[in-house]
Amino acid sequence: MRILTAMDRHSYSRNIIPDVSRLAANTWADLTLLGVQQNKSEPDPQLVETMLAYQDELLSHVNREETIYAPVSGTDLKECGKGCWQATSRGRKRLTICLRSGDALKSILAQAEEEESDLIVLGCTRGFDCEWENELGLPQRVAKEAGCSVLVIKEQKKANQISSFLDQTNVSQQSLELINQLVTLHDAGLKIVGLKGQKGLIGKEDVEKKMMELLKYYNERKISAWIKMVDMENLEDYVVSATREGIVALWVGKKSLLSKIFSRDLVGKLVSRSQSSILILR
Amino acid sequence: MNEKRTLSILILDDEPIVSKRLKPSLEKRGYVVETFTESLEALKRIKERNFDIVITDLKMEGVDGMEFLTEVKKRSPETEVIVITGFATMETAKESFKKGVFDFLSKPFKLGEITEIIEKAEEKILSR
Repeated sequence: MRILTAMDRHSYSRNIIPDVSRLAANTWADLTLLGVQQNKSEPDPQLVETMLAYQDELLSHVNREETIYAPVSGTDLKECGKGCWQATSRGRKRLTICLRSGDALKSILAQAEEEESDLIVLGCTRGFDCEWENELGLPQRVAKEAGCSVLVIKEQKKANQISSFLDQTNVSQQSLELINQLVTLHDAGLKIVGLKGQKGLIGKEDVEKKMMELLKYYNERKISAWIKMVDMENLEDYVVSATREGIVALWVGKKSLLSKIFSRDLVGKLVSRSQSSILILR
Repeated sequence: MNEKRTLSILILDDEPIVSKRLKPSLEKRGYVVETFTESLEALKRIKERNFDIVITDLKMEGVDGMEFLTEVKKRSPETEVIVITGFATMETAKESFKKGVFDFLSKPFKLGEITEIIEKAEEKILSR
């Protein structure tokens, strides 16, 4: 598993370190810490210092029981393309610190694509605006445009349950596996949420069948899972209340009917309205 | 003239999609691959012959992956075991390494990731 953590200099980035640490310690994932800077000619010394401090804090959590990662040194940073510097340590698993210059959205997406990340994690300000590196709505755009799953953490919180919204049958194996890891990490129950429109269940019989298949899949693996139906018109309020209880996960695919209903900015809207963490699954 | 040894791999995962994805790719790389979705069947097979590399899931009905890897290492300590799991915890990782696994990989993973681990295991096996 490969996790890309995008971090800026604000406190919300530091606040996600405990969550990222637990995820890394559980999964022994290859981990990249990515910072974005404006200077294109050399690594920004202040950002390097921040990233190294984040690394130290992360390692103090992750390596507490077992030494999974070796630390990266600032002097190891080597140019790996125009306006891009990277250093990797090879402990039992790979730890990379990467700095990219330029547009934050493009930098995060490019890094995720290059290293074939399974998950992008980033924090942001609370409230509807979701700022990252002083850019409004950046997490929403990452969640919308990334080719892999994205976890946006607004507030660190123990998740008692994960509410996953299903409106389509196109559920990838990777997304199921990611849900499994998060359920295990938080020791949480899994709520599979179906959406009801005026004409009944959205996605009709196929979705109902998929929901039952998922329920069976999780029950066979002894994961506490159940089904809940929600009226489409109450969806946004429901998302807000679900994020109070834990993580909201949303399967986003080309066939997602939800995407059509909220065509312009479903993902962005849900990221904005969530109060703690939202996971976009692909 | 030295001929390159062909390594044998056993894959055990109760989700058929895992073997379906891995088998053709590994065979293309020259490995001899046998796949199982039932741990009891796989257990029967390792009693019949040793494999160079075993890739096993942990959470399975019947004999779970931890018991399976214990049995593999007991019968054939030279076999390199790679654990793949969708329900990873620090405890399972620690226990796996204590039992002598070669590496621990959480799902989801890309083909490239597991291939890299298999190549490292192969290097170790061929250097003996």
